[in-house]
Amino acid sequence: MSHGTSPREDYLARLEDLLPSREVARVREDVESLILERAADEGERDPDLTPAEAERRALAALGPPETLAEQLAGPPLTISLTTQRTFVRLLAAVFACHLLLAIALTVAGSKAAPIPGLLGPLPKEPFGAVLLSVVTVFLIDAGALLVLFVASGKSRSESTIPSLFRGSRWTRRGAVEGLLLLGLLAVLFNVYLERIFSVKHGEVWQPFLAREFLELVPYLNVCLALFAVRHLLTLLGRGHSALAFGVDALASLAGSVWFLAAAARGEIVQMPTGHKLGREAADVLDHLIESVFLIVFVVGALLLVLRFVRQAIAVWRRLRA
Amino acid sequence: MASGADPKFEAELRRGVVQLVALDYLETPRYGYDLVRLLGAAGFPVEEGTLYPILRRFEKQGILSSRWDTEGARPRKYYELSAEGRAQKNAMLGAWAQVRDATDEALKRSMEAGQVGSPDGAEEETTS
Repeated sequence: MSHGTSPREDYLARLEDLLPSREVARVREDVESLILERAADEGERDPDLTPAEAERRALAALGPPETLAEQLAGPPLTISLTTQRTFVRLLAAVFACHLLLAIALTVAGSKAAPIPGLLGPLPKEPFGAVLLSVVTVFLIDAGALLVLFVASGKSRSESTIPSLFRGSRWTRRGAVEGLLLLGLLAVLFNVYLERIFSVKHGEVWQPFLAREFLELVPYLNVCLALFAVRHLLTLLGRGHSALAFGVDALASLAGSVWFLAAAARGEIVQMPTGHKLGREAADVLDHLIESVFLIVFVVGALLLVLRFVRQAIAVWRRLRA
Repeated sequence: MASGADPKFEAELRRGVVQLVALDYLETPRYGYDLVRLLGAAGFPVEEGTLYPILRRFEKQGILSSRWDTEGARPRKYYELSAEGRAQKNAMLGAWAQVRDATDEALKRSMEAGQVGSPDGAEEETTS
């Protein structure tokens, strides 16, 4: 597998992503010094050795960054009611994302709750109602996490939580795959969207996505373009730079805003009526399909907000280092 | 340096001792890779991935102090035993001596008992 940066940079970036932020700068310096020292020694002992091979041996002597990080930061935390640190950290992240989504729905002027009882716009006044809503959001998150912790048991490692809080390996191969996927999505959304989401009426295929929703589609290109820039930076060997993570954060934020805007549309589906499909049946279908779309949009927004948080943390770490 | 013993046993045995030897070497300032080489030459082959977390832990605990030397071709971080570390090393030496003496004594007794009974202990000496 080819890497987006030099193996040494890739190793250090992976290590950084796994370490507590207070340890990152110091450990990076120490480990880089060890790598350079060992690589130089390998080169002196065997003059035929290429610098790349000497560096590879130096990295091998350090072992996988995951193991080194574990030795430096301690074993993975277990999900347990007594492991307060993991619980508080996750609660803070989930609450922040949940509140951000609720605020975005409020700003977007959404009237209905995409997930009744769990996610919806906040009241704008009076102050007491706003405060109560925020507290409710917090209690929902705390309760949900508590259930997750109890259900997960005491001995599960942190790795059972999806890798949302762990770093990614930005590789050239991954960037090429990402660019191909983005290209495919761009073609689908810009050329074939109405053809895919259409129903056959007699001999004619009629699109059923509402005009109001289709007006949003061009804005999706902005998000796709930002993600493409992120992959291009990886191809140029700057996959682990603050700029790359910054672009990723911006793309994630733009994507989540797009999903929320789509979820807040008054009408997403408008099933065409005809001789076989009456208005009443069309309304039921509208409602069903819109529910599926809403779930996809809300889940998409949530995942992208989490990605935004992770990328923003990565930018902050790199700027501090 | 293969002894023929179970590698897992040998690794566990060395893990504690290498810390003591490393602390002893750090009576004089040394950089990380220099220590790796010294330990290897002394019969304690250790990789950077194993030694560095130990050094980092000692540093955090105040057992080692460190400083960067940036005057050479490459910046090097020199570690040295602190006053607190010296006391810690002496305590570890005491613990090591106790373990070594106790082990020697236990093995000596076992060997003496083995001369009477069977080597595998299956047939202990019987008294009528």
